[in-house]
Amino acid sequence: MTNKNLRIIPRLDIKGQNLVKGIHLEGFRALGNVNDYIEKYYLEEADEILLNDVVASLYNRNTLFNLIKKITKKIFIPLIAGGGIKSLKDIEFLLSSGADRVFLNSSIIQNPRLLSDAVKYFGSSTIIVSIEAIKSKRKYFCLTNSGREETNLEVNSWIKQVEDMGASEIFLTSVDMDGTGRGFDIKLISQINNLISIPIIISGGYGKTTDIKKILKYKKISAISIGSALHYSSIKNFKYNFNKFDEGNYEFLKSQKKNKFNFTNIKKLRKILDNV
Amino acid sequence: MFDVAIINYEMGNLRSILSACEAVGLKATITDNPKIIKKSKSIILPGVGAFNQAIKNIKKKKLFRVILDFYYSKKPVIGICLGMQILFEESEENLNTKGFGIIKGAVREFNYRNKNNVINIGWRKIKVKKFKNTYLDILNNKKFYFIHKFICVPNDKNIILAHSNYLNKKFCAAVKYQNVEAYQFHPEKSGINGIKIYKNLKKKIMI
Repeated sequence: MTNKNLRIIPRLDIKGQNLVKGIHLEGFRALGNVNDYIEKYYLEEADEILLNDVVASLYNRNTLFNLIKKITKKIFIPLIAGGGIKSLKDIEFLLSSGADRVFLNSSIIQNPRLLSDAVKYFGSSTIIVSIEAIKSKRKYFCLTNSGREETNLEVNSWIKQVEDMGASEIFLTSVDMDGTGRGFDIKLISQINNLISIPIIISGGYGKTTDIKKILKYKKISAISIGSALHYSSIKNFKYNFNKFDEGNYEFLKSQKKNKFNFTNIKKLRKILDNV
Repeated sequence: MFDVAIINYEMGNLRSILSACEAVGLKATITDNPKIIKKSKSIILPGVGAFNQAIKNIKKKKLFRVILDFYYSKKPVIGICLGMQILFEESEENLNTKGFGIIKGAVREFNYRNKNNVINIGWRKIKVKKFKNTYLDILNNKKFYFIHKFICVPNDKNIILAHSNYLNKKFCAAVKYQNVEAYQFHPEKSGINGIKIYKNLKKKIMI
């Protein structure tokens, strides 16, 4: 049995109002207004939408809350939000703004108690643990703060620990593959596939249709989260008013350069899944 | 006076339900005020989270009786996910806490051999019981968004409007009992097809 029920979840890294995309979670390019992209993916029938605030700690949080409040008036599919969540209060704000589920990373590595508390207060199904994995000397380690800081915590042991503490799902980003389009991190996936019984959303590396076929045999994968390939295929759908943006790296958008990703969209991805 | 009172017992994403109501032109409010609830044309019991916490919060806000009375008034009562489960008598999630008992039956764990922690997350097709001839018929075989660990098992199987399937286990996805309609999935998170359920509620209220 292959896992044909994989959910397709566009991953939107955001910085203020902007959708941004980097490589290895670094060097973020602004790709335009995040609302445009969310609406497009909703109409293409994404299974869920994932918003990752990459600079949550540096910017005013209210931007994210307002963004979620506004967008959830128009889109009626589940919204996963996270990035920089530090407390139960943060979770409460996100949920009351309209997010359905949240993911936690940095703060629970510092204070694992926050994870068990969050599960207790908001229910297991609401709480996802985000793991940003990077390979070093044949082992995978967890990064924190959107890939900015290293830890000596091994993914293999952490993933079991967070399962025991009640996380409903893992959101696993391969930082090595993020933004590269070179395929999902099969080594990482095969390592953890047998370690836990909860489902895993994998992120980082999708580039071409065969990448999906390669991961179908891993039963724990419940969803694929895709950023670059979807975003770069969508850029031309929107008009940009550069005067409106006050900050961010717009060089790429202005240059109208080609990108290396093959054109795709959610309907195309769904077809691949339906036909395997 | 509101078309819909979305009962606020601080569980789950209330705003999405409000947005879905507004999207179809229903005048809705999120409230824990008994007076507003009583005057409303219908109520929605929302919810994500634990069975006992939901009942605890409802009792703390002195809404248990208010909700029960609303049901007795014959006006539409809609339960969603946990809001469906609490309408039953009890749940394996917390055996010490009694539910409303409006629907006879219990809430049970998914219960797979050798599998703990089974949680159904994602879009699944619903199979509508054809002979019921309800508004749900047009939604047969359409996908809806589920996120739950427990399933409702009504004593009277005739009240089941639709089933769904997860890991080859058939379970109850929607029920209709007297003036109560309840869904294990989240209509407000199920795109265009989910919105049709809110449209139906509107039709019912506008009569």
